[in-house]
Amino acid sequence: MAMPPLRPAQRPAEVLPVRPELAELLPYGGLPRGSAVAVPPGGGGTSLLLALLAEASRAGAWCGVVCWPELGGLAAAALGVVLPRVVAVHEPGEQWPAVTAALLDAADLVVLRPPGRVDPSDVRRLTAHARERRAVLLVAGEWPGAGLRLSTVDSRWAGLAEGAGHLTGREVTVRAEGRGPAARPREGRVVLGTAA
Amino acid sequence: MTATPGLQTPGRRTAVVWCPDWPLTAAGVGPETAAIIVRDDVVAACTAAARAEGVRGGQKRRDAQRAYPGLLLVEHDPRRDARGFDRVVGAVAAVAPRLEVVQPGLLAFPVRGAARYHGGEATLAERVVDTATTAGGCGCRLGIADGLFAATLAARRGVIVPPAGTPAFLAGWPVGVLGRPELAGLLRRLGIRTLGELAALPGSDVLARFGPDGGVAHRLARGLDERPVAPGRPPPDLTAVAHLDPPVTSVDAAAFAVRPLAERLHDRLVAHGLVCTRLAITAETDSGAASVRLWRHGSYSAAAVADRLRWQLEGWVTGGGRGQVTVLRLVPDEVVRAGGEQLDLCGGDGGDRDAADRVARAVARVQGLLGPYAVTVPVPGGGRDPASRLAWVPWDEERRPRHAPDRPWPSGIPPPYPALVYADPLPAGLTGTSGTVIGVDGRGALSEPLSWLTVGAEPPVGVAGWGGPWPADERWWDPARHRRRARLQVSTVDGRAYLLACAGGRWRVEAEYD
Repeated sequence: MAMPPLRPAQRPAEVLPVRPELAELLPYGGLPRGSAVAVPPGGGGTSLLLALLAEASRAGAWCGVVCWPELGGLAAAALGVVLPRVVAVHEPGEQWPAVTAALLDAADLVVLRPPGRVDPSDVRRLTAHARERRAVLLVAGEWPGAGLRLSTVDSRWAGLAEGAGHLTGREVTVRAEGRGPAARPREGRVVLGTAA
Repeated sequence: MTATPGLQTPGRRTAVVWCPDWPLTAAGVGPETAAIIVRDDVVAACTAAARAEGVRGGQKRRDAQRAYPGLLLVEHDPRRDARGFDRVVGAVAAVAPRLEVVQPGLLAFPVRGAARYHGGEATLAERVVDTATTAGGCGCRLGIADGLFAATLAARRGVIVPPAGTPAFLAGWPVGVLGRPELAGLLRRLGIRTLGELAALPGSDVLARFGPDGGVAHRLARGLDERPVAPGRPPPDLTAVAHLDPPVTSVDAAAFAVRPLAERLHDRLVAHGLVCTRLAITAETDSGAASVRLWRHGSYSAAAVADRLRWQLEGWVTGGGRGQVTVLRLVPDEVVRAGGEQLDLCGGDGGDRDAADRVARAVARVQGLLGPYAVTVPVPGGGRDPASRLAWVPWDEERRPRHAPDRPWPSGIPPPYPALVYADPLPAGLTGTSGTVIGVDGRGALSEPLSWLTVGAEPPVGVAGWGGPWPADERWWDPARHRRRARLQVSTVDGRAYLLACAGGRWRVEAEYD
């Protein structure tokens, strides 16, 4: 890490680790346990989310995935997600808040793709539940209760020409913004998805 | 690492009887006929004569037939395999006690008592091989070593590994024999090619780098049992019994009746945080006769138990068993703690085990809300499109890929892989500079360079680059599942990239490289 981002007194007890180049962007150098983090898909957001999942699962974290049948498991594996520590509930239907809460009880990190418009009371309840259980709620979309929002801009793919080659790699700019210590946005270039 | 009793002790002395190419023997095909059994378009079994022609298990059917066009194709029928094998089980049971059927063609039993009775391991081996050969009508091999895994490898060579010699025996085998193709691929890339090299790594590093599955592999490579066996016998209240009134007269009806019983057993195991690795299935009849078999399997979902009861009863009926089934009994014969394989690798502090237990309980809660198939885990498999290269398998089912994943797939799209894969591909439109609709011509080329991409109902976006089209002619031998399509990678000026497929003149977005 280039510099210690904050005074130690303000650090939360624990964070889930992230890649070094992302750690520089995050106020506590990782995903604080007990927090909600919004990572909207699009323009590389899904890969960014998988990269977060990868580091956490490699450090031993169990991960839950709710409401996201489209999530590419192969991409997850290639980005380093430890598949045996992932459980998914693709189609919980109306029960998604209860399922998300149940997984927050047990897993260290739960990825939720909110189905359509979410009731503010569900946002409040699940955010509070994550805080209570010291788990990270990683929302693939917007989440009013999120303390941190990671978005991607300026995605550039390499490898394709007019009818030749294949996708080889992609760079995006990740922007981290949020409340409290994350109020000052930070940006950094990150490689997400290579042919290796 | 603290030495918790029972965790570091070597596997129990085990004998494995292996009937090579059993599915073909069961079908009545001798080793001198060049024949194969195909499953999922891959050679699942072949005879010695077929091997002599260059056919190999795991080969694609097309390649096998190219190697030897005169191959006899035998239908894949697991019920036939199990039915025929019951003869062998019955005969060997008279010589060795506590037989377990690992799978049709593969039997295991504990050596100690039987060897004492028969006057040594060599004599026991000789008698069992004679018995099994006579009953099965085929050559078979026997191996003895510490633990089921090592004994299975010993059976391949037909050798008796001396006591305490198991780690040395295992050391030379390639990592591929672990039956974990993904892990083996990873290990090979890291330069770890043999079980000996894997066994030499520190356990905590293996667990940290490769997860629980790697932990299991590491145990196996060191000659330990797959998971530490929970001490003592399972608590008696785990046994699930059903009294059938009226009695059941057909195999199908019995298989149906056993399902709720299997679910009940499963619930009790979850409540105790246990996983059953060996199950005794008993069917008692009104005539007082009973069919009892021990089964070893990775999962005991209701469907898996029903299958095994079906095999067992069909074999029993073929062997002359008669009567109406009045009682079904499921007895977990060997249980392990869920996630317990991590225990000795994380230094015995139990932290990871607690986490795994917690997850298992949460999964059980979600299954209670949504049903047993609602919770899935990702399992890699082979395939050409992103959707079939990774399967989401129900939590309780065996986590085995349908196709082996480490085979080359010539027309597979190279990595990076798309992060979003659509089960129902979105309709798409591709147009050229003048707005002409672009398709794929007879030679598999685009009719014109691309300018615009339309995904679903969104407005058209300028195309930045594209690769392909790559043709794919999938399952051409199977009219019902045949797909002829062309795939295209397209990146757009707004920094997005997609995987498109053209079939029947229509473009669809199969996946997005988000």
